[in-house]
Amino acid sequence: MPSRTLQILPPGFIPPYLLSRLAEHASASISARAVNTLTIDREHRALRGFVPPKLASGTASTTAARPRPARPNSPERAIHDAGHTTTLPGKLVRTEGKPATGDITADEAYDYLGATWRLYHDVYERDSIDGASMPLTGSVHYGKDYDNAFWNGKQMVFGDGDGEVMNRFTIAVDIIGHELTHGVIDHEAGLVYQGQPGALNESICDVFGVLVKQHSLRQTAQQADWLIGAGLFMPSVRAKALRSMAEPGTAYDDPVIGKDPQPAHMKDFVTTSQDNGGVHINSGIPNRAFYLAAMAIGGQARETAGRVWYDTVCDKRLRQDADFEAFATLSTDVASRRFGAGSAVHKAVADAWLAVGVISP
Amino acid sequence: MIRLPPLDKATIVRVTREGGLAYMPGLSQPRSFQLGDCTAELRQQIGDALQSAVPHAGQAGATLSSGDQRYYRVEVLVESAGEDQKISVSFEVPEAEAPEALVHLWKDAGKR
Repeated sequence: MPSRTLQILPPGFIPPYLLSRLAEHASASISARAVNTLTIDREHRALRGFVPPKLASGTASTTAARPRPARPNSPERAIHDAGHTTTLPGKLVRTEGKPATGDITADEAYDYLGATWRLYHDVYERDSIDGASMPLTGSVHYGKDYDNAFWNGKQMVFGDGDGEVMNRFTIAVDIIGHELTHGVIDHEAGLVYQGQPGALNESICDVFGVLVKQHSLRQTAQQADWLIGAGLFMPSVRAKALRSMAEPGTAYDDPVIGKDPQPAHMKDFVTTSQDNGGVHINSGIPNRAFYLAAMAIGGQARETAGRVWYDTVCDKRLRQDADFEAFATLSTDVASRRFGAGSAVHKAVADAWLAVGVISP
Repeated sequence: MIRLPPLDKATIVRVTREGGLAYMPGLSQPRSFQLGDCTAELRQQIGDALQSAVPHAGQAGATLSSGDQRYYRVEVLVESAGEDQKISVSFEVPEAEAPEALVHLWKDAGKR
């Protein structure tokens, strides 16, 4: 086996027994062969269980799992207050149909979970994350000065931000759309969160995040700002958002948080072991492809380019380990099938992937 | 009981916090400890942090950090004097499971 010398191993999983073995051999000559022959086999500690990819295209495979709750044409939302702890879900503060709490964070979470549900329901005929009325649970006020929001496989979690660099994470509807879309992807293509499929995963979340905002504001592609997380940074930070789909790499440039590292074209693709192989970095490339397609088509992106992306995510041909080229090829085919070969949508999608260098001329 | 490599055989310990809703270079705050330059007290802190973190080591990538969850990444570079070969081992700990000693190591340890 080849030896590994001085290199940083790719993101990997070194179990306790490997460290034990290293301990046993640390005083002797350390053999790279010994490391390479050790295999890694340990129970996952991830919060979510494995969700197999769907078996058929469309959402039919996920729509029959659970009877519809009492409220048709409505989400089932539950907002909890974690009380600045990391215990989830926390105290229940608002359920479906109940009045506003007066806590802007809890009420934003409630409203924007609803906005996300409406995009999927109204435009893509999908009932919630799993396509089967899954309740939408969110916890706000997570941790102390917590600078993040995430989907843990069961629910969404929002920090309040530190108040110096970042504001509360419920402030932007597209962030909530982004996080909830992680759940949708888990139930559909199940794109692995590493390298190019991971960057596709992130990009798709950004796509539907901005589409939630555009649907909520009734915006056309031309009217949208194409930003992820606008308003999240405090005024003292030189940042307009977390990411720009229109101009990846331009969202921020600040002494504290650094410079936006996103590329906009394959020629600038970043190879790195950080960030799960650059999932939040290289997502700039498919993000820009979507933006270019949507702008070329014009009008309501959620009905055209968004429909193509949604159908692609739900298409059984999309593998969990799909790379950019695979997604580009499939989405172009999907555009042709749904909107017609040679249609404006088909051409715009194909041209967009060409423009960002994912597909060669 | 896990026995970590003697720290005098390890040369460098790196701790970074990764993941999250976005990758912001300025906020990852990578910590790198040249063990030969550390005080005995700091080496003890590092050893304690590693010991407490190892039981929480999880699989990288596909599931551990999905959905924008953050995690700590620990790298230990081990070498023997006079040997050319060096080994870098790494593991990741989900933020929600990270022991206080590891968080302290990343955030504060060794800072003056």
